[in-house]
Order: sequence, then structure tokens, then C-alpha cells
Amino acid sequence: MARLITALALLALPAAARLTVAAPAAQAVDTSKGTPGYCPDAGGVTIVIDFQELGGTTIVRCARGDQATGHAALKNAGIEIAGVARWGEAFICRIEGKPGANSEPCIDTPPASAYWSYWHAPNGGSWTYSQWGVMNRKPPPGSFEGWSFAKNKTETTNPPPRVAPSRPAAPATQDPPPRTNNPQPPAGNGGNPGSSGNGTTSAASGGNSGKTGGGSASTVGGSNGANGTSTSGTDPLAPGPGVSGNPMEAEPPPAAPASEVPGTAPTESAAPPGSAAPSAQPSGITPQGQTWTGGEELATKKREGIPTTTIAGIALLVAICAAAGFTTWRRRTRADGSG
Amino acid sequence: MNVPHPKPSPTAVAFRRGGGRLPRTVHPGAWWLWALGLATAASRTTNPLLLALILAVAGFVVANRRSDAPWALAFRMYLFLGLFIIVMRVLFRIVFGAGAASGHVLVDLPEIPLPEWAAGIHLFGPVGLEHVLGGFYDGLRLATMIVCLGAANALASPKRMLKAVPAALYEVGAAVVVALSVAPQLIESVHRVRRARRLRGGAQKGMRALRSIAIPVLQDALDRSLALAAAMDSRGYGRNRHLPRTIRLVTGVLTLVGLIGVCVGVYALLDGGTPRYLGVTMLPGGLVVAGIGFVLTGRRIDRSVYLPDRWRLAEFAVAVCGLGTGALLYLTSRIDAGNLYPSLSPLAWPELAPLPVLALAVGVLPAWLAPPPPLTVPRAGVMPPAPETPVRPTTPDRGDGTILREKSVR
Repeated sequence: MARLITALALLALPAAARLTVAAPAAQAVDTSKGTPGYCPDAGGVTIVIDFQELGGTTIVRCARGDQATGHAALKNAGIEIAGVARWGEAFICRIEGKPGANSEPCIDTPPASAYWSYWHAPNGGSWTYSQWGVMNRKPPPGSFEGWSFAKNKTETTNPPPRVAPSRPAAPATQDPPPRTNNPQPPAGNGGNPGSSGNGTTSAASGGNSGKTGGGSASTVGGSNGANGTSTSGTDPLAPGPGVSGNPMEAEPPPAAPASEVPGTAPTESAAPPGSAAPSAQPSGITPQGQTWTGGEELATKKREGIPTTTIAGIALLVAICAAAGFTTWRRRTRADGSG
Repeated sequence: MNVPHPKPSPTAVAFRRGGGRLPRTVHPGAWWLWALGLATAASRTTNPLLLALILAVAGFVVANRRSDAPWALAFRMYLFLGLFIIVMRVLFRIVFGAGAASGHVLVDLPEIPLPEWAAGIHLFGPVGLEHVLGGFYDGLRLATMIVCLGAANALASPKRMLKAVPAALYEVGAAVVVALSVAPQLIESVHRVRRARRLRGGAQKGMRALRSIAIPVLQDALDRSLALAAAMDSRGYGRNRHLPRTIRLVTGVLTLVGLIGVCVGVYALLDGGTPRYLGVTMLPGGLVVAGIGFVLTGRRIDRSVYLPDRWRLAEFAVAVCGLGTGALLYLTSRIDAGNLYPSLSPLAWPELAPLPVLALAVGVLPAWLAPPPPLTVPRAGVMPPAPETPVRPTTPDRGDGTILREKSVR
């Protein structure tokens, strides 16, 4: 019996032994997948995560390319999800570590009073509550996938994500403004479009496209004028100094390879090596006053090796099993001896 | 205590091992409370390390405190049942694959395409480690809960449970106990039939062997159930002919109405949609009505118990240890649930926190707190148990006569 238990415990170990395992951070966006902000064109699926009552800034990320399922889109956008123990990731229970383990153990299907509702929308359309599971729906390219936490809501009062599902039109590459690697209010950014008082989100997404090379426009050094056109085209964006309130705003990297081939999934590592410090964060405020970011500030901290508590636990387990096995053996030998 | 035998009797050994305490059976209710506490603890976590530790704790206590009775050998069968559950869970995770490759892919099986109307069902496909581990964690959780109940079955005599059931619940209690003892009885039957086959030199293999085992086992179990029913009937169990018809009717209606009221009240309390006053009024009302029914029925039934199991300090300690384990893990899940549910994406090592370890330490205590079990002589006829009787205040737990019958079979 003890041997059996030990074998059970040891079975699980070698499989996981060679893996680099991430520390269970509260929130983590996998920055190696997807790009922050809206998708620049119809070649990807934009994911909107609205935490609602859970707190936290709404996350907008893009899964580039064709997505097979809503689940794949989430994964490819770098969003961290957790399924329920019973059904696996077919039923999404936790997004970016929320709701926490204290309120939702994610063993069985979460209750109807607190769960992640699944929405979808075409570009420029309106949010629709999905009648399909996350594994069964193929999001069309260029569409939006929304996740909104529904707490104590009914079928009719389920809140859609509070970010309008429309891409900023014409993601023109903005001018590469003077570089400041540290986040700072846009007042200091001379040529920053954000300071020009125009659409902040366009600046952000422009910066994104510039950084990631997704933008098709190869003109670098476009002036404020060019920027102005881009912002005027993006009507859902809030005018005004929205960015100034957002400390996440930083400049795109200096040598943004604007001529990079669009369509290749760009990653953080594609950014030039000079811009190691705070990466460019597309972010903005919707007309409804909803702030959003690309979620890159939640990057996962990798931790190597097996934690000491795990080793201690295994040692304890082996000790108890050995004691139980010894007791069983002693009883058996004694029974045989006396009989 | 000096035993004048050259070889110490099992009782003497147990006496020494038990720290000078006399071997005796522990009240079955205490073991059941302990096991239910462990099962509750297992239900609060998916941490494989913690679940394996709970399994080990249950196994350790069983190894130390189980008797030699046939049902005590059932624990191994429960372990195999648990292993079967885990294997099935993992297999189902692989067969009905995730559909999408994500995370660490172990094996890249080809996916079998299914028609459009079967959307959402995937057959095979890439096997991700996260997916398989999810099935393993979930299966291990269920297996641990079942093994905990198996531990209770191995430690507590199922038939002595019947003695502890309140008089009013006698009919229900008899049914529950018979149902609970089905698994141990079947296992016991398998042992008996296999031994009989060995003695006869039966050497069939495969399907023939299955037939020559299964039919006698089923027949044996049926015979014994009928014998149990006949024995209970001849002792007046569940007999209420002597009561006036109206009294029987009133008590029955009271009990039934009360229990229905309790059910409605509990549902109303747990379901947020129903009006609150429904639960608040129905639950106590149902309890009162059912209580009156119980008392009325119980007063009509005269029952004497031979050698009752007393609820003493050791029973109290065993029950408190089990319930304490459950309560501590419940507490952990309220205040610090972080490592009760290890993350699968990103994959993280299951870790151990101090509070669950404390809960496990409390759960393992009955291995020392409970008095040692009375051990029967392993081989019948070799050593008569007669000389031990003066040492013991009570006769050893032969309980229900199973062992005597066992000897006569041999």
C-alpha cells in the first residue's frame, strides 16, 4: 500500500521535472505572445478583458493571425487563463489571476453569480453574449472577443466589456518622438502626439504598430500633422489629455522597424536592444471613461527550480509512506510468526 | 502484565504497542467522523502534494489501528479503486483532448475529425501536460475522498454502526448500514471463494475463472444478505405490529413531513433566488416536526444493546482530530487559498504551506490516540484465545459472528 502511494506520488514528478516553471504570480501577461493594444488591421483578433467589479485596468491585446477558437485567441494574445479542474480550460474560470483563489477555487463550474461572461463583436459592431463555448467558436479575423466579469448579474443585466469593439482606424505610424525611456507625463514629450491634445489611444496604438512593425506605413518621422490625421480618424477615442493621467505611457522604442513585414507575429524581443527599460505601453481611455492598457506591465516573473516547500512536502510524504509500509510489514511478519 | 505464555499473545503485543492501554474497539462513529473530516479536507484542495499526504495519513492510521477482521482488509481494494479513478480521468482527458495545443505538449496525437454536429468534442489531438495534470489533480482529489471513506470502512465495523443508530431511525439505519457493508462483504466473499478454489486446486484462468468466482461471490453475498435480514427479523428489528395503527400513521407522517421541511429549508437557505423567510421558517419547523416524530417513534421501540460501544475520551479525540483537519483546511481555503489550488497555466510546482501541514499533523494523531485494536488469532486453532479473556474487560470484537462463520468454512 505504501509502495502504491509512493509510486503515485513519484509518477507525477519526472514529467514536470524538466520544465521551467513560472512562479504563480497574481497576474501575468505572456508578452512573448500577441501584441498589446488593438489589432492594427483585420489580420488578428482583438481581445478585451474587462475586470468590472474585480478591479484592475481593462486589458486590450491582439492575437495576430487566424484564430481557431476563442480559447486559442486568448492564449495567442498572451492572456493568462485558468480553467476549472473538472472540465479543464474549456470552461474559463480565472483570467489574469482574477478572481483569486480565496473567492473562487476553480474546481467546479463557477456559480452564475460570479463568472467570466464571453462576448464577441464584429469590428465597429456591438457586443453580443456568446451562445457558444470558448472551444466551439471560431472568431472571424478582425473581430473582437470580449471577456467581462459578471458578478451578481442576470441574463439581462450581464455587462458587456466597457471598451467599444472598434479598431482605431488607419493605424498610421506616428512620428518617432524624442525618446524618454522612463514613463513620464506627456508634458515632457515634445513631439509626442499625446501631448498634442489629440487622441491618446491612437498615439498609443500608433506607437504599438510602430514598435511591433505591424503598421504598414513606412513613413517614419511623420510630423504632428500626420499624427493629427490619424487621431482625427479615430473617433471613438477620447480627446483630451487622457494619457497624462496614465503613467503607463512611454515612448515607443527608437529604431522601430516600421518596414518590418506585417503579419509576422511581432514580439517584444523584436524591439531593438536599446530599449530594455519600460516597454511602450499602448493605453488609453474610451469615451466612456474606461482606461485600458496592453497589460504588459503584468509580465511573468520566471523562477527556476523546485521550491523548497515542494521538496519538504515530498520528503514528508515519503516518510509517512515508509512508516505506514513498515507498520504493515511488521504486522504481517508478526502474524506469520505467531501463526 | 505478565502473560504466562512462552510466546506473547497478540493481545499482549497490542497492549505493549498501545502504550499500556488495553486493546478495544473504538466507536465506529468516531472513525467515521475522522474519515469524513479527512475527506472534507481533501475536497478543499487540488494540490497533489497535499492530497497524497492525506492519502498517506489515512493509510498510516489504517496500518496502525485496523483490526484483523475481514472488512479491515478492504482498504487495499479502495486504493486500487482510487488508482482506477485517476487512470480513467487521465485517459479521458487524453481521448477527449483539449483540441488546441497550448503549453507543454507531451505527445502530438493526430486528431480524429468529427462531423459538424459534434462541434465542441475533440477526439485525441495534441496532449498537453497542463491538460493531463488537470485530470490527474481532479482524479486524485476524488480518489483521496473515496480512500478516506475506505479507511473508515476498514477501521470501523459496519455492523457495529447499526448499534449506534438512534431507535427512531432504525429502519433507515438498517438500510444504510446494509448498503455501507456491501463493499466489504463482497470483498470478503471474494477472499473466501478464492481460498476455497485454491484448496480445491482450481487452476482455471481467464473467463472460466471469472465465472467460477463471480457466481459464487454473488450467491454468497445474496445468501448473507438474506441471512442478515432473517436474523434481524427474528430479533424484532423494524417490527411495529404491536403499535396501534393511528400511532404508526401519525409518527410516520410527522417524520416524513419534518424531513421534507428540512430539505426545503436547506434548499431555500442555499439558493439565493428563493425568499429568505422560506428558509428561515422551514428549516427549524422541519427540524421540530421531525424531532417530535423521532421522539414518538423512539419511545415506542424498546431496544437493549449487548456490550454497547461507549463514547469515551479516545473516541472524542479521534473524532476531534478528523474534524479538526477538515476545519483547518476549510480555514486555509478562506484565508490563504494560494497553494491549495496550484496553478496549471502557467505551470507551477505544488507547494506546501504551514497551515495544511498542521492540519495533516492533527489528522495523523489517531494513530497514537486511539487504543490498539483487539487482534484475533491469525490462524484458527493454533492458539486458543482463552487465556487472554481475564485480562480484558470485554471480549474481543467478534461482533457479528462473521469470524466464527469464517472458521467453520475453513
